[in-house]
Amino acid sequence: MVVLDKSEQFLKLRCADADRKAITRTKTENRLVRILLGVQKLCTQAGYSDSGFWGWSQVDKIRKFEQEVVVWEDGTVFERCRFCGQKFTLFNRQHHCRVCGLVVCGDLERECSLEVPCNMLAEKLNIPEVESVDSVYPLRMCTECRRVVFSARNFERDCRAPAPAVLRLHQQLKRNQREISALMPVFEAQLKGMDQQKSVKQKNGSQDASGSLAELKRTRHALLKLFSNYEKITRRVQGLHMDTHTEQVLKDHCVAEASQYMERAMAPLQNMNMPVAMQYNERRSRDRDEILKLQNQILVMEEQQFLLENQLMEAKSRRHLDEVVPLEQSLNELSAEITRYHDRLDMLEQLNENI
Amino acid sequence: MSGLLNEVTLSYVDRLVEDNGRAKVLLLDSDTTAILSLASTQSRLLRKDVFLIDKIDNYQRQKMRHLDCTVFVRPTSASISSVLEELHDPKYGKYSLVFSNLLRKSQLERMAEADDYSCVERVQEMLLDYLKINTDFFHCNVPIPWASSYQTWDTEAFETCSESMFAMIASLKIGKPQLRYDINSSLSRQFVQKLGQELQANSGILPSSNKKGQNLVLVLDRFNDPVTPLISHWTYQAMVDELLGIVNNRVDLHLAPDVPPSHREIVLSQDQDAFFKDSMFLNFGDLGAAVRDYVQHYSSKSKSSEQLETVADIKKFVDMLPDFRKLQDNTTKHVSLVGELSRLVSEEHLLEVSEVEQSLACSDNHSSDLQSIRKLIALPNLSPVIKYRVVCLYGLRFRTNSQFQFGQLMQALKIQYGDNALDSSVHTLMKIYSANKFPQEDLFSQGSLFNRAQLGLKGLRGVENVYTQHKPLLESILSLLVRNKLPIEKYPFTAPPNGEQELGCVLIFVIGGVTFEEARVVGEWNKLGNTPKVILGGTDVINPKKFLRVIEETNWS
Repeated sequence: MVVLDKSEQFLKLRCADADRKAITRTKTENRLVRILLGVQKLCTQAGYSDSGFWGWSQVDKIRKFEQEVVVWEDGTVFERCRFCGQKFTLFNRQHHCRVCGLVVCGDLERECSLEVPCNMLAEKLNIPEVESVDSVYPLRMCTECRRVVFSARNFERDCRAPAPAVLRLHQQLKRNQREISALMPVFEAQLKGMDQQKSVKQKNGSQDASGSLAELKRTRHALLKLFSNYEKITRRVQGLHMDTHTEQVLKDHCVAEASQYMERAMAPLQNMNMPVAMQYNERRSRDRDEILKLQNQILVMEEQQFLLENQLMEAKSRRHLDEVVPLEQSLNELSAEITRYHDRLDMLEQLNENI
Repeated sequence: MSGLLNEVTLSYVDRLVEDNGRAKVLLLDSDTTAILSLASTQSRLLRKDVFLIDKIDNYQRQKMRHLDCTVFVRPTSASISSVLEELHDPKYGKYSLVFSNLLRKSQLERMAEADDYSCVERVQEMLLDYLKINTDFFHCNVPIPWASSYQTWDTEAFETCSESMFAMIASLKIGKPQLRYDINSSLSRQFVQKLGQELQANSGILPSSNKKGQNLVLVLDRFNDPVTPLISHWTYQAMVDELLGIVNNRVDLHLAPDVPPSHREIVLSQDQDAFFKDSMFLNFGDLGAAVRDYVQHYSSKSKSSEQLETVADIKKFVDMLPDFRKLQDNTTKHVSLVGELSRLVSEEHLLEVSEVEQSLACSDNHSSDLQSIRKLIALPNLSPVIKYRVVCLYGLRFRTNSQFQFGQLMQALKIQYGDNALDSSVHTLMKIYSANKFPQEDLFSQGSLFNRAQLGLKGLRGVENVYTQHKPLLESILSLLVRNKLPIEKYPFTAPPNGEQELGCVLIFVIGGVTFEEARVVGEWNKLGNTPKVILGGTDVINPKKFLRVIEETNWS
């Protein structure tokens, strides 16, 4: 395998270019600010600030001001729009970008240039100097100037905006996964320790293993809680509403990976011989222990129920009819079993309360 | 046997996407889509949170700037412009740019210049620039290597193949291997020269060899053995390719009757399918038995799932359900596939055809062969490709026979089908051989059989039968090569060999396409755990249909 890293070289090259770009951006931005402030002043003087109607003399004044800030290109030299290459005609008229002065077409579909109201530009620019600009006078800007001034802003704004729900939940899933993989080896070590203690106990006939057993149970409980939490988040992802096909695919794949993770991570837990380690008699806490045990078992069974439901859905959607029958059967039996456990749990809890 | 290319490509795939727990999108071009689909599975990518995969030149992609993006493309000019376009208006938040081969400095500069938003965080060259079919078999996805004659390379194909081979040599960690070529083929000579220059120019990045012994690259020419791609072979992988076509390890069964809708497109991959791994080189007879055993294995498993009485049973069932479903899926797949194969064998009269082909290739019965060919031509429902193929074999085989009836046979076919592409392909092939550049005795297997007998080698395959008498030339070349007996006059070195006799790793490359039958030869050699390890590649993978089509599509002058 050969992987060569070019990142450093790339970053160096990018840096070398960055200064030049920053200067262009500042220059363009400064011109835009000057024009916005100037136009605002002229509009306020004439008292037309939001009427939406300008007399010819007014427009002429503004145009003269605009040309003071930016030198307009001589339109007679150009036959075609520099961006789209379209020929200028009676209907496809020449326009000037107010920020760079270049000759462009005004085709609304291709957006080589667009007229944007001053107040919107000021709002998008979002810097203190232009806060006061509220004129709706339209300013024509070419696509390149719009890109230079606004697209980096848009990019940063998009990246800083709160992430969509599916990604936030995905991050939660990942945190949960990390916790599970941190706890799993602890649990395995404790279980191993229990088995060793048990054999020692059998030899010596001594009794006190309750301390480490309680520890083991705590860990197991914590693990199961993590798993059930994981499953809950997965269900929330599944329940999210998605607007577009791409988002739907993103969500589906997120759910698919989450349930595959559950299968992978639960496998060692299911293979461990818990009940043997759990069996011990200590009268006083017997009921409480049974309640805990029941709760744990219900959790495990509910997780299995969830897995089964998923598999059943998948089998149905894939039309694996021969799988559907045994799956439905086992699902029913499992549900019945869960109900039975719940009944027993309720009974015990009531008993406990009565005492 | 694992190792070899599987190991290499998987470790590449694991390096491709960072394991940072963030949701990712992966952008590919058409080259890397094929490369990656052969090197990895979707679930492997899912594990690394790759939730979206798309083409880099799809400009309709939705903007999702909270996603990270990994771009994996071949550094072609088209793909680099797509990357520039993407950086110009980034749809995602952060980018990793990974290229399947070495970048030119100007390409790196243009991308750095385009990265206005500083959204690129990683740039890497990852030398994974070949399509891995089996763990010891790859190709470069270049269907037509020739320009206007069988002695000249197409310029673009020449670049692509040498880049691909450079990537292969580098990723195998075999240092700077020795190069050998075929004295009869100017294409192979040009290729090793170019390869030698590339290796010299980039020797700094070539990892040193981690294998004992001398490593070797041997470049061969398809036209030195046109017989192997013209006859039918009877092993699983080769048959599927010939009768149904394998494209990037995928088989399209839409045209097959009696195939369940879920299995209309299937994947045949050695590293994902244990049954296929064991049966891919079985001949058709043994394959039937293997599939039968497999079905029995499945039904015994499925019986045990019928008895679900206690919660413990259910639990067990749930635990093994994923495996069970995989088994069921795979059984259906192979049963469908083998069923379709045997349907096609009888529909295409393949047993009769194969008998004639083998007789043409391996014995010397001009008059009886001629008779059988006439019989085949007369069959109304035999496909024209097969008829032309057999006549082509006849033409190559009996070119010097005094009773040569090639013209007559071609005339008979012309009456049936008129002027067509196959007709001109066969004539082109005959013209190439009448130029007498390629020695006749090597084309057919007496030569190679004789050599094998001399070596006292029993053949790499066990049982022989009438349909599998012909052995590809590659088999005898390989058996000579591994014993250091491959004649230097015929297969010279570019630089005088050093003292080292023992071979460590051998990379064989066939210009003009390589067949699954030849992949079997190499696969079975490696399966025995022999040294040297052998890896086989070609400009493309071909079968009889494809071979004749490629001959047709080349612009021969």
